Amino acid sequence: MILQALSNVFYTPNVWQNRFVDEIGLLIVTTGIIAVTVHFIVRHIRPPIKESH
Amino acid sequence: MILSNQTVQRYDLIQRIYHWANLGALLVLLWTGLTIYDLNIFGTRPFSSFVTTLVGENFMPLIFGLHIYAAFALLGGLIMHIIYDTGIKGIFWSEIPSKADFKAQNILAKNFLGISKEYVKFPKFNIGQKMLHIGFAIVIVLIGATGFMMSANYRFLVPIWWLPLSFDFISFWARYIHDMLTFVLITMVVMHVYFGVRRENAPTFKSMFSGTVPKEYQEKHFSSSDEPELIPAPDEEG
Repeated sequence: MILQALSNVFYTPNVWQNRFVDEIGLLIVTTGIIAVTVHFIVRHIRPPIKESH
Repeated sequence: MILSNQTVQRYDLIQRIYHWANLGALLVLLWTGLTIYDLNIFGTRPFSSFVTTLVGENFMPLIFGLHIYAAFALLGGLIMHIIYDTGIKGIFWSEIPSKADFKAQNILAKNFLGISKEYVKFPKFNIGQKMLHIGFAIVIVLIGATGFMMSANYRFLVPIWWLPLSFDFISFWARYIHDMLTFVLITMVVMHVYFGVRRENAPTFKSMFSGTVPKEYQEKHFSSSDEPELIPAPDEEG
């Protein structure tokens, strides 16, 4: 079975798992924080809706 | 709904209770989850050290219990939310991004990048909020499912025993997906909080406590129909 084969290939219970989760996780959260920081800087320079509206 | 003192209802009481109950459940889940994960920052283990000083070395049963109860609060809340808002209030299609929403989002993006001075008024929620809303639902359901798969007591809630997968494989990937999606969820909450507390959104932030926004604010910032409304560039107005 394909799933059984996947099960054999992708199950490797070793120590990299925690470190990998930490690093990828940090990357995901950092990306989000960078995105909101860029938004904050751009919107600080150019506010979204003028008072005339 | 327009109230007598020139305010417009944005969230009713049940919606507000649901929102803040979610926050409470997520904070408990984050704290207990990071304790179970035993987050290690440069050799220090702040979460397990903290709980050890509170309740001693044998903290796991308590922390696991809290994690599970908060998970049931979050998932139970999600079920209540779907029943209340779709079944009772009849809200569904207005919360799904429409073609007009995607067009309006392009105008918003061009304004953000400084390409165009046109802007757009959305109905109650803009497309980003709608997509975040759907994203929250998917991520929370997947984190919940993988969480149950790791628990001997609640494994029966995710019936995948008929799949030809080994137990070790399932617990390995369940944990992996649970952890990864947690980081995705944290990122989504960070973005939600950022946009929520921005100064121009202060009235909508306050409405998550009071339920209402000033009528003037509603008319100025939100479309009067179910479709997005174009605000021409200031120059074109004359």
